Amino acid sequence: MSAAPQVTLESSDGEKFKVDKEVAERSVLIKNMIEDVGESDNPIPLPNVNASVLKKVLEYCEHHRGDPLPAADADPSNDDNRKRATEISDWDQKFIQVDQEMLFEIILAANYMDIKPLLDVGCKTVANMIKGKTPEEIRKLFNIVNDFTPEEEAQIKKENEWAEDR
Amino acid sequence: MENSIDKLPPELLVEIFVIFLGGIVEWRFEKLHTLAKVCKRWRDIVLATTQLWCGIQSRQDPRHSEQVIKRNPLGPLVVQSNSQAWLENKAAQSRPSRWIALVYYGDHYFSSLPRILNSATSLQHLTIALDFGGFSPTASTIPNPAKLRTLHLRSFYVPWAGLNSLRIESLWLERLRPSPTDDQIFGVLRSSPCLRHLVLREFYPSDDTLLMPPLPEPLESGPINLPYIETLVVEWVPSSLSHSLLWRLHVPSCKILHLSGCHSTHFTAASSSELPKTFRRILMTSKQIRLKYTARSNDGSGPLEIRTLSPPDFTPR
Repeated sequence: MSAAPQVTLESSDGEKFKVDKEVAERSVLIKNMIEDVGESDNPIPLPNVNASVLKKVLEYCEHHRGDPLPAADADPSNDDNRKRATEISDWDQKFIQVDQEMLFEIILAANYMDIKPLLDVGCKTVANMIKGKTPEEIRKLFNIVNDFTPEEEAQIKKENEWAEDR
Repeated sequence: MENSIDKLPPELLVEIFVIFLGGIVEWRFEKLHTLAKVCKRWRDIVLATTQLWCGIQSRQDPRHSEQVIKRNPLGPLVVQSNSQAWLENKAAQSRPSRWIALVYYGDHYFSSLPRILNSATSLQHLTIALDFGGFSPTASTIPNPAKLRTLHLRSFYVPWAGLNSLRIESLWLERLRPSPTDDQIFGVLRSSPCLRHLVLREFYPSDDTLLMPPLPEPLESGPINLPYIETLVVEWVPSSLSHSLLWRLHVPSCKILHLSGCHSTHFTAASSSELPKTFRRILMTSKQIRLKYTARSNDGSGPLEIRTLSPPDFTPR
């Protein structure tokens, strides 16, 4: 039996990862690059993804290697509905239990590498973290600085008094 | 300390906000204000993204709707109303042709409803739930049924002829008068292979037939495959329909099966060997089904109680 075709990916920090082509092609970016360039022994550079993040992304791709790929010509309204659903499978939930820095790096990598299901998992995770929280709690959660001046805050409050706590 | 979320570009924050705001009919104005009060960057993104301003509701302060329409004058809208007057006047001014969802809960049918529906040509989600029916609006149609993904109708005319070849994912039909024929129901099921949620409720107000002896195999018993069904609820529908459904549906992905008030669903069994044949048949088509059903004593005199069976209670032995 012949071995599955493989490709080599190179992270931004120069680490090389040899993976099955089927796994790498979960990324639409890589799939298109392979189609454009053809079979080659040269590593495929991923200048926006470092080794630790790429390792994590490839773990996801390996686990989901047999899953049906999202159709390129999918109905945009279906796509929107899919995104709006917040359920995440058990495996994906465990996979995405990482610190915030890694979580946002995975989201950026999934976006860059065009891996829609992974992007969904990341975005849903962040959306779920925000759920039920006040603006102050959201700032604390993500270490966001409240950069409104007291005057701006007073103005926002005044403009939207009727919208509060209804 | 470094703030990691600031690394995300606006378009990815919008993706997250869209998910946070919820499904199209759970959209809430207050959530937008929560996001807009976090920091200047988030506020700018929220205020500038038309896509996020997509819902108007009759029960909220009119200023909600005004803000939404001001920020989103042309894009898709979700409209929720429990007021006929609001729907006819305020909501209609927002140009129904851009509505992607209409949810109307009201007492009665009103004569301008078909006209409003006919102008809502982009609907993906339609809920018309009336407390009282009592009408026969034969002119009612769904203007562009090919776009519909969810259709929930209570005490409302069902345009059966327009429901063929749909891509509906969620179909909820309740308190239909007259009760639909088996052919109408199966016609829709045959033409809706994408269904994920099917709820059929209260077509038949009486439980007279609950104690009938077991029904024989239906005359037409060919299987109907609904490979994506996750939820199947059948409550208080005519015996012939519930019997045929249980006999003919193949629902390999079904996770929740809820049956009440149907002939052949009233039994006291707690194990698969005691389940009626029609029941066993549908359970065998799924490995992950969770069955909730109504039970009563054998002579029908005892109180109704809700019971739940999960695998392996009915795993074939």
